[in-house]
Amino acid sequence: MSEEDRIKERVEKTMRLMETEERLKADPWFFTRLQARISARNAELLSPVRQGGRWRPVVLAALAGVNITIAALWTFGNAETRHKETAMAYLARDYGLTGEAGDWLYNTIGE
Amino acid sequence: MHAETADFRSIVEAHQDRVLNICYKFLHNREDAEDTAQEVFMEVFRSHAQFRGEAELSTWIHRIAVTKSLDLIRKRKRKKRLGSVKSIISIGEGRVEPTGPPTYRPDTAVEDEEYRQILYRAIDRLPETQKIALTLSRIEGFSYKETAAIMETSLGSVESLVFRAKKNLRTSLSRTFSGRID
Repeated sequence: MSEEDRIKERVEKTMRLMETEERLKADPWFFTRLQARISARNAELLSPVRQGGRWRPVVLAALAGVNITIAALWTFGNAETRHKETAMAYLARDYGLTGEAGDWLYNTIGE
Repeated sequence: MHAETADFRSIVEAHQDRVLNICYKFLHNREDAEDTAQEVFMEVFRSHAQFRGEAELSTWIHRIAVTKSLDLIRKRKRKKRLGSVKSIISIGEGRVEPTGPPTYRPDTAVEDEEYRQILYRAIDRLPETQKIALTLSRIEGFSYKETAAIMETSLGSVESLVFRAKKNLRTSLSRTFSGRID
């Protein structure tokens, strides 16, 4: 038998193995194990950690809201201070109150 | 549907053996096949509401079994690729799979097992659609019509895929046995 024939024979023998594949049978506990896995999955879905995850968008939105409010208060608060300082400067200049008198006016009204 | 209901139990019991065997024919490992078969029925339980009855229930379940098995194969391949990279980084630690031509052994069972492993590797190298068509029809014993329904394709396509799969398989096996590995 030539080498080529031997290879052909091996190939055909290997191809035939496809038809002699072992057939499995599910064990008697298959459904019981499946039920246990489904219950475990359901429990995991209902766990507080998972439930917390469901509220995550709400918490994030609330945090964003708080941040925006703080930023707005800080910005407008600063703007108010700036306006107050400018008004004091104009007032002091108009009344010729510079130096110590100006400081006195600023400290008295500005507080 | 509830996990405890008789409906679900009867569905599982009617299909568990076939699903287990489909998974086994793709995965070639009993433990992986059992685990994947359980995943299949968990998916059936989860998404039974999406089953619109356009196909038979069994076809739908078998399709999930094929998809889940292929997902695991892809995951394994990714892991293997990662392992190869790791073994390249740390030379000598990687497991080397036998790739050379099989040596002659008098024991037929051992020889069969060796040839079977070669067959599995050759099937794994086939394009995915050819692998599915061949596994379902030739190995798992579905008719071409049933295979076409599971694959959501035509009868002609399945015939063509199986024909090409067998041709490619013969070429691949010839190369392996003559010592020329793909």
